[in-house]
Amino acid sequence: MFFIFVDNYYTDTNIRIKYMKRLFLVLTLLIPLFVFSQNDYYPIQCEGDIPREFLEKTSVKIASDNHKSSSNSSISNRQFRRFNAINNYYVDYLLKGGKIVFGTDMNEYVNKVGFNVIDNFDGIEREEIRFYIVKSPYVNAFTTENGLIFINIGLIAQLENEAQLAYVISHELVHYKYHHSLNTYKEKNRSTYDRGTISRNSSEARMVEYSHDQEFMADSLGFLEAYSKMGYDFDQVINLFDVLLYSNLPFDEIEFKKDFFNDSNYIVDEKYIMKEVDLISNPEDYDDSHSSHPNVKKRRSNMIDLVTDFDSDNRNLYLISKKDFQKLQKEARFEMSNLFISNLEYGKAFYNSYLLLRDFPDNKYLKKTLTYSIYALAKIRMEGGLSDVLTSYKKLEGQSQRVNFFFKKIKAKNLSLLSVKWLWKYNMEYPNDAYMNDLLDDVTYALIDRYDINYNAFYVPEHSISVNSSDSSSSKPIFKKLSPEEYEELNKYDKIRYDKKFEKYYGNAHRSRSTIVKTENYKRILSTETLDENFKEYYKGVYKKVSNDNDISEGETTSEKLKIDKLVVVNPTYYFVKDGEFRINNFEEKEEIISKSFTTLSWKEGINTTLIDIMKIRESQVDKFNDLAFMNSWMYEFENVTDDDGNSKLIPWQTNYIQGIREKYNMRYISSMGVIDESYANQFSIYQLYTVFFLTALPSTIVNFALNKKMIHHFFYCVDLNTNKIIYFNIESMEGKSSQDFVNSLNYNVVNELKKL
Amino acid sequence: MKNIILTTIVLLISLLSSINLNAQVPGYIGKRILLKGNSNFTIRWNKEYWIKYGGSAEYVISKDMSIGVSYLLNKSIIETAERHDDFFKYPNFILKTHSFSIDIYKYHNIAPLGNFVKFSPFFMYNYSPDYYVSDVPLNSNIDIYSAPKYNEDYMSNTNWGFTVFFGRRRIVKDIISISYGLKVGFTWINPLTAQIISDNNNDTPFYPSGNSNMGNTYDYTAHDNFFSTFLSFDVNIGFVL
Repeated sequence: MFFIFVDNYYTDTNIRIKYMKRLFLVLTLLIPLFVFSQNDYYPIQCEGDIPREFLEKTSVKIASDNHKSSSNSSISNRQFRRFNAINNYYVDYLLKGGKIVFGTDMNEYVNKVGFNVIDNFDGIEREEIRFYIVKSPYVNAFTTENGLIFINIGLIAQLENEAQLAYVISHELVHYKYHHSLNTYKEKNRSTYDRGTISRNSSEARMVEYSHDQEFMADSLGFLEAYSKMGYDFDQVINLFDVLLYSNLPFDEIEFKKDFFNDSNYIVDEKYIMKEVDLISNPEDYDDSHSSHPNVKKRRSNMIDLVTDFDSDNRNLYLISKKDFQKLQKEARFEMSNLFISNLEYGKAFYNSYLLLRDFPDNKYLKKTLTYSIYALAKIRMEGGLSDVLTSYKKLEGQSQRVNFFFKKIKAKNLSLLSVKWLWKYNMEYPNDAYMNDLLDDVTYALIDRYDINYNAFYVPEHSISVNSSDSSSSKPIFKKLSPEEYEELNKYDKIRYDKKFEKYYGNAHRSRSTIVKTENYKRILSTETLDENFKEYYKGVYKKVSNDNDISEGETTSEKLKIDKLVVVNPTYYFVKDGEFRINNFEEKEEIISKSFTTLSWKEGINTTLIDIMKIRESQVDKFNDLAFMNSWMYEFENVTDDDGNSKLIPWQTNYIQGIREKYNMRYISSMGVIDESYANQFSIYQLYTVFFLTALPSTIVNFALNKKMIHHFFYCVDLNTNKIIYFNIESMEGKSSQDFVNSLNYNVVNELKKL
Repeated sequence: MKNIILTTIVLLISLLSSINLNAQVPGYIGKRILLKGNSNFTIRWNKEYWIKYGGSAEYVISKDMSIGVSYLLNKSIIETAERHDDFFKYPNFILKTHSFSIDIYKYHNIAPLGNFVKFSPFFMYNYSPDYYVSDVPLNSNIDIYSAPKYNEDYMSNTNWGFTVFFGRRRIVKDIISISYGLKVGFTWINPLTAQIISDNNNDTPFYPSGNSNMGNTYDYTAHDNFFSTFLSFDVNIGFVL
């Protein structure tokens, strides 16, 4: 299902042309800033000048749209204004939230393909449409009433060729041309637009859902009005529906080898390996009821009927550039690992990197994302909540089922040891990666703290051989095979040593008979690493630190003052909720009041506060825009890996990148804050009957009944980037609304608390 | 009375000592002192009403608590048919009541803003500038045909009690404080207790002595004090410093 929304945002055609020319100039002159090579990759960032619509106030856009007459005469003015508010609000959430990519090579290529489609599409001019790429791993594309077409990286990663991309764009242009989003809004009478959530963090997919008829119309008219007029291969239309149908599956299907985690001293327990995975159903049998694109089967079937009437001879997969498409696809697939991790989908991230490592075995970024995924899954297995970050293998088909089965079945302790192993391996290869060193410290500490595994518990290959070898001068060690009774007589460490020797002589087929291997195989996970004296020293050092820390009683914890004198506050947010429903109002003004108040008060108290707010960014400051995008994304991730007590379950992935920004802004503390105004009807209380007897209380009671009850909720948290911990978290609710005095008081309270830390 | 004041002071000292005064207190953007003018309005179903004026000071001592002192003046015209001396009848007299209270504020969130409850033990001094309670004529009363002149020993007595104030404060332009709310109060000497005292202690100093036959001032003040305090609407306007 592709999506919607629409409206013409630039009224003056000249301005639009001027704007687009400038954008093109920027796009063509840009030197790619992101690092992408065979051996590394840096998550995608925007480049060039920031498009005007990113920096313009939402309220201005809404007012501008309200002045235009609705193309749909059957919609009332009130509905139209409401639609404009919702439309612009959510679109701006995407644009200003840092989820959108502009100005990159990827954008340039998508623009070329998109404009080629527009040129073949009657009734739409190039100037009306802007294409943007969304940093989302989900297979999706959607269109707004304003002429913005958003294409998710998740979709690009799954597309097989340029023809499929062109068909996606054709489809979206139909939604735009026929004002599907406005019509859907009218038909649904805003019921699905603005209820049920107070979060601006909702998925773009929730913005609107098209009716089945509109989807069928977009499928067929997209094909007839544009796609069929170009030279693209018709079969790709059907293939695209297969992409949508299997959108829940990874971009490729390669066996997850059961020996992936093995080395010369450790073999993964068989019970963690799924023997037979479920074969992926063919399109006709595929159950798409749980898919993100329900109804695709029927749409596919309809399009088969339509497309087969056309002759597909001499048709092309590429009209613009095959090379550029492949580059776009590759970047998107690389980016997917980053997006999956940022979205806490560690199983998917692991398999995505696993798939890519096959073609790019030396890529540092892929090794890093894969290692991080193991780390994150290990930490979450220890802390609980795996089901939130790993899809049940029962719901999957194909090789990814085996991946998820493994992470579900493996014991938390074993997975933690595996995480230590992979991080150690990574750090040996890239010793200067301080972030990954932090992860190693973190998981090793947690492992020892939780399971108290002493270094001596590990099976040390060299050590065992030397101890058991009675005749070290002999060039051919003697091995005496034990009977089952003799084997049972051995202590568990001797059993391990025996097993190892047995393996050396007879291979690992004996494992199934060895109970000790089944139950204590974890001792072998780090066997190879124990051969490294550095590892031995490192592990013992962490063990000692854990012991020391545990010896310190809670009362003896040091209370060194943090002395916060510098703070970065990211995008203060404001919501208005009336009777449980999120309402769009003058939120920008409120956000400004809140920000200004906090900045002024914190400066007054000696805290140098830097506000990172998109409304303060100028057109040429794309670096600041990228920083803001990272901070937003990092905070989203951080909030999701933090428990109710403010303790982080793991070190967030994007902390890796925030460190660069940290140095740039010379910051140690980063904060997020927001205010919610809540209004609801007063409930009658029996105590209010006292007014019958005391006239003095009557005016107050009448006012109470006449006015809604108002509450202001203020939240704030501050993270110490040195420790990755929330050092201050506060939610304060007061009866009142976000007038200056309440905002000041709540903000100052936070500033005062920060000063005390 | 002294015991009550002493007890209140002891309570306040113990309260203050329990608070770490070194801890930074937010106040309102760091401001912790409030000076206010008070007005208090009470009305009853029999069309009696009282308007009191005064002032108060408040000091924020913790995130959600503050302490202060208040003063309120009430001026009532007490109507009475039975008050007379040998020569004149006095249908009414003026009663002035000075209330002094120690206030303990507990705010719902962050003092001194938003909803709060104030507990105020108070001391009342009742005084009438035109109600002589002495029947001792002045020595200069030599003309028996003129109205006698008495020693100017005006009626006065004391009362005490407490109020609980359910209020809300807003602050305008970071300097002007406006608070309002309902106050309920209780006076120790009220119509009920006054009656009991009256029944048991006819010779208390609250009653006119000698033969002035000017009625029971205790009844008047007990009635006035109690009903002007029992339930009232309170508005304060002042400054946050």
